[in-house]
Amino acid sequence: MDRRRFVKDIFAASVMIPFLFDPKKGSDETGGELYLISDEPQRQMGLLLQALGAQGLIRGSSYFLKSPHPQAGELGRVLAGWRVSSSGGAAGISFRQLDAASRPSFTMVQCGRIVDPRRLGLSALWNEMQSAEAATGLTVVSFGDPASEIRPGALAAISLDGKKIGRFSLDSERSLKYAVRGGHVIVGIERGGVRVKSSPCRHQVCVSSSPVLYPGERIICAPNRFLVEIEGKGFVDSVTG
Amino acid sequence: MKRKRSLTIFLALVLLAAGGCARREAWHSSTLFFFDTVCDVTLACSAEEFEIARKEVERIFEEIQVSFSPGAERLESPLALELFRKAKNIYRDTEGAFDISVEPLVGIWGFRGARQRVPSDQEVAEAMKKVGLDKSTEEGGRIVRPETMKFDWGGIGKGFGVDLAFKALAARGIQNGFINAGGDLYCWGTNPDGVPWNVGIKHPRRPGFLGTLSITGLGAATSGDYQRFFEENGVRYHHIFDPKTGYPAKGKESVTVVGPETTVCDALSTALFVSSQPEKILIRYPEYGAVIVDQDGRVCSIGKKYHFTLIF
Repeated sequence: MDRRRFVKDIFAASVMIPFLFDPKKGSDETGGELYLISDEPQRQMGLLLQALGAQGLIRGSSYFLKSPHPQAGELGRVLAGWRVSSSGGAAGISFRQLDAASRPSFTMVQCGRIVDPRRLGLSALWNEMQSAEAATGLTVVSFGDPASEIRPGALAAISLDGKKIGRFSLDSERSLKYAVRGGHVIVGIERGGVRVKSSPCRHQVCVSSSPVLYPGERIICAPNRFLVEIEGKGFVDSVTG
Repeated sequence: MKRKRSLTIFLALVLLAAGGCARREAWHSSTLFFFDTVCDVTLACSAEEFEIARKEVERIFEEIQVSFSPGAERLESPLALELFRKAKNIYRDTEGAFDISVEPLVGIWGFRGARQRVPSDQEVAEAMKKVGLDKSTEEGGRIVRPETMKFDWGGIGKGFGVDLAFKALAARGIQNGFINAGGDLYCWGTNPDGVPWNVGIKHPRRPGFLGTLSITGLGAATSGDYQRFFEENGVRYHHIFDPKTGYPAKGKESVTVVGPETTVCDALSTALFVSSQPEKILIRYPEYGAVIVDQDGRVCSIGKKYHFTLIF
């Protein structure tokens, strides 16, 4: 009975998922969600995240709160060592008040399937929670695939001598020619990215550079003071390598 | 008298308001060309302050470039001595894995000119006779080295410039910003979103990023076999030489080092790339950590753990 009620609650909660999360980032291949019915999620969160970490779900250790959470302060203490991030992170935590009180419990949904909590070696925690008083707080932790948040840019900018001289979209394949001191640099737009096809420079470092696709990425031709950079709000502020 | 005073007060208020406007903090960025690469300076400060700061960074980078470009080095300048001492310490601590005297190797492999080529074993052996920083010393405030010895400051100079520039900007009271000289960077305070800086590590083999570092008050630098290389008979020959063999170092695709000084990150990224026992080197540098991609594309992190997120 308890279990049935719990599953019902979970599916009731899953109806709200499209409102809480970007549907594209729902239960995709690598992501997952942890549903925690408890009025004191801070008591179980630490153990659960530890167990999930062992499952290879947690990458990095930063989180962000997707909605105001009544136990935000306490959760912060449980997540000691994790960093709060304003725009995104390895895990997004949201809170929702349930319409009806339910047995405290937790469920893991991975690849669209419910994962048996006993498989995570958490039977003791499960039993302890089931015998506690009914709760109305639902905390959902969603583990996104960081790569899915990273989208290629749509525009690239060309700079010469530190001044922007041109800008183009990356949606159609073509070549563009730019005059530089020693001749012309030819830039190719291919498969949503940009590469330098030819340059009159000596070392040809720019020509042998990988194509660039993501905001913040750039190809430099230092001798010609020529720079092509993917524009847009990226997830990086700066690049090394 | 009274009118005069009110006029003074009025003028003072006008000046204050004008000053207040001009000094409003905002994010400013500038792209500079030094060290044969692109340098970025991004700072939170007033527009006036940014102009001064940018000129200061340009002055420092110019001085570094003049002091340490190949052949133009000033061996008696205090700056050269300071960097020589740092380079020699790292040479010693890495058991020779980082060695600024590899310059003759850069020459015979053609990385100074336009045509790169594989030299003969004979040529490599000849060049190797000129390599070995232990043969140089500091005497009477001057660097003393064998006549045949030449320095390649490329593995430490940019990092040194970044550290000097950061110190100058911090002394001017700039509390948030980053300086990136061709991948050797230092960042402090917060980024425009008010969180630590997100630094992307370039993927050594495909477009995009290997992962991101979330750091502040720290420097970072990367050495990779993809930065300068040529291929001959299907073999990749890159510009990071093993000072013990005279050939490009084997076994890794990329090494990124994070730690308090960009100068050290810069030199260590080369040393760890070359060394077959990078963990052993980092024991001497407890404040430094590294992300290494080996020749099979496997990623591991060694030394001090900083916030690194791998992208799949």
